[in-house]
Amino acid sequence: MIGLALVIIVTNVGLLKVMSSNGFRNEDVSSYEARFGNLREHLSGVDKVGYMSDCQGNQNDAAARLFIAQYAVAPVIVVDSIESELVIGNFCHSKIDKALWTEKKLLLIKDFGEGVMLFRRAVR
Amino acid sequence: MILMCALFLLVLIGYLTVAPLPELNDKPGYASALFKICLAIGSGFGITSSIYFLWVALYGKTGYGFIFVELILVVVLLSVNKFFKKSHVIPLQYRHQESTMAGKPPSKLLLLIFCGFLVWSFILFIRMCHVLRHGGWDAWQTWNLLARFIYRGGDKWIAAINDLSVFHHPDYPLLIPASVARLWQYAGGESQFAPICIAGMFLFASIGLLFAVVTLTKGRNAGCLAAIVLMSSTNYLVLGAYQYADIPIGFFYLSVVSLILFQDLFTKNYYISLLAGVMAGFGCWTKNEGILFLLAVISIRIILMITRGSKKTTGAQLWYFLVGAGMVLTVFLYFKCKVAPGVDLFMKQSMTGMCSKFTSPSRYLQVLTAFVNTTLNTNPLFFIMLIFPLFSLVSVKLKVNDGLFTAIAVMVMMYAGYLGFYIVTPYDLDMHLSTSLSRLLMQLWPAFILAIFSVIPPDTKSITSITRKNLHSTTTI
Repeated sequence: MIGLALVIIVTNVGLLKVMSSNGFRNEDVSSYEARFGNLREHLSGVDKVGYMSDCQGNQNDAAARLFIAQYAVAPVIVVDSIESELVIGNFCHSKIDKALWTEKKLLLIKDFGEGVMLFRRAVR
Repeated sequence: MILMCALFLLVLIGYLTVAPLPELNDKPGYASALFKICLAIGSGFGITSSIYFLWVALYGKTGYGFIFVELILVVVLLSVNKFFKKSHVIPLQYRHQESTMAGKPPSKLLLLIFCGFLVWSFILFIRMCHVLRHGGWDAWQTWNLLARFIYRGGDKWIAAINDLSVFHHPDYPLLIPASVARLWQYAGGESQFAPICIAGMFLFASIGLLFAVVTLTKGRNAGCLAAIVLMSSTNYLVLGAYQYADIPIGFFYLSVVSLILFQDLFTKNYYISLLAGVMAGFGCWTKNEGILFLLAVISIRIILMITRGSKKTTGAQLWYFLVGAGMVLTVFLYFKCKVAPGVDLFMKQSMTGMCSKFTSPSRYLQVLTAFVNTTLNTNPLFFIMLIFPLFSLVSVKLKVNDGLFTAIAVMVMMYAGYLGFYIVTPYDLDMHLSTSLSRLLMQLWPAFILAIFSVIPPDTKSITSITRKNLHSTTTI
C-alpha cells in the first residue's frame, strides 16, 4: 500500500503544477459585476432586455460575454437581439461610435461608463 | 455569523436523519462518527434545499417562514430519534480494528501522507476559490445564475427561469441553486462565500465519507489510501473549486453505494435502505444524471431479488429504498411540473433520430476513443485502479454479497449509461464530449474508488463473517 501511495504521488504531479502556477483561467465575471452593478438598479421592474456588443473575438468569447451579462443583471432576461424595448450595450472599445446605435434606431438612456450603456428603442 | 447558524442548522437536520443508523461498535469510533457527519452534510443540503424550494414555489416569494419550518423539523426529528432502536454488533475483531492481520499497527507513514494530502487539498481549494470567487463557467452560467433568479426574482422567479435561454439549462434541478439562495436569504444578502462554502462542504465531505466507509470496512490503511487516491485527482479538486454540481452528485452516488455496502452488515435494518433511497433521490434533485443512477440501483436490486435466495429481505430493502427515493422525488416531480421544461436530451430530437445514432458504429468508436483519451489525460489513476483489485481477486476467495454486487453492477451500468448518452446526444458529438466527458467521469470517481476498495481484502479479518453471527436483527422500521 505504501508503494501504491508513492505511485499515486509520482503520477499526479499535476497538483504540483497547479499549486506552482497562476494558471487558473481568469474569469472577468467580477469585473462584469462591477461594470453592470449600476445598470441593474435601472432595470428594476423590467422582465427582459435586448443586448448588443462591439467586442471582437470568436463565437465562444461573444457567448461568454452575453452569458456573464445575463449573470450580472439576473433576474432580468437578456436576449441577444436589439428588438426589445430596452437594450443593453456592452462595448469593448474606448471610443464608441454613436452610429453603432443610431443606425439601429436606438436612443441612449444612460452611459454607465466602462462601455456599459442602456438604450431605448426609438418610437417607430 | 448568521451564515454559520444556517449551516449548523442544516448539518443538525441532516445529522438527525442519519443518527438512527446502527453503529459498528458499542462505542462509536472516529470513523463511524465521520461517516455519519459526512452523510449528514449531504442529507442536510438535500432536505433544506427542498424545503426552501417548496416554500418559494408555493408562496411565490422569498421570506423567512421557511426558517420556522426547519426549526419545526428539528423538533420532529429529535422526537423521532428517541423512538429509534439501534441494532448493536459485537465485533470481536473491531476492537482490533487498528491492527493488521500480522498484529502490526496501521501505517503512520500512510496516515502522514493522507494528512498531507488533506492539508494540500484544502490549501489548493482555498487558493482557487480566491481567484474564481464566482466559480467556473457552469457555476455562473447555470447554478449560481439560477440561485440569483430564485433569490432576486420575487414572485416572478418561475416565469423568469422558464424564459431563460436553453444554454442556461433551465431544466436542471435546484438542489445547489436553492441551497445557495437559502444561505443568501439567511444572510440577508448575496455573498460568494455561500456557494464557495457549499462547494467546499460537498468536496471534503466526499473525501471524509470515502475515508470513513473504507476504514470501517477494510481498515485505516485502506481508508487512507482510498482518500489519497481521490485527493490526488487534480480534476476532482478543480471541479470542486469551480463550484460545479458534479461534485455534489458524486457525493450522493458515493453515499448510496456506501449505504448499500453498509446494508450487508445489517441486512434487516431497513432504515439503511430508506436513507439510501433518500440519498439517491437527492442525486436526482442535484442533476438529471441522478435519474439514471436511481434507475440503475433499482434495476440491480430487482435482479438480486429475483435471483438471490433471500427474496423477503431483499424485497423489503428494495421497498424501503423506493419509499426513501419517493419522498424526494415528489419534490423533484413538482419542480419538473411547475418550474422546468423537459430534459433537453429528449426534447431536441425525434425517436427516429436517436435510433439512427444508436446504430452508428462510428459514434461508438468516437465515444470510446474520447473516453480513453480523456481518462488518460485527466485521471490516469482510473486504469491503475482497475488493475489493483485483480491481485486481490487472485489470492483471495471473495464472497460477493448483495451490496458488493450492487456497487459493482451499478458502476458498470453508469459508465455504460453515460457513454450511451453521448451516442444519442442531440448536440455536436465532438463539442459535447470535449465540454462534459471529464466532468461526468469525475461524478463516478468516488463511488468507483469505493467499489474497487470493496473488492480488496480488509486489514483485519472480514467483519462480515463474524458480525453475521452476532447481529441483533432489530428492525427499526
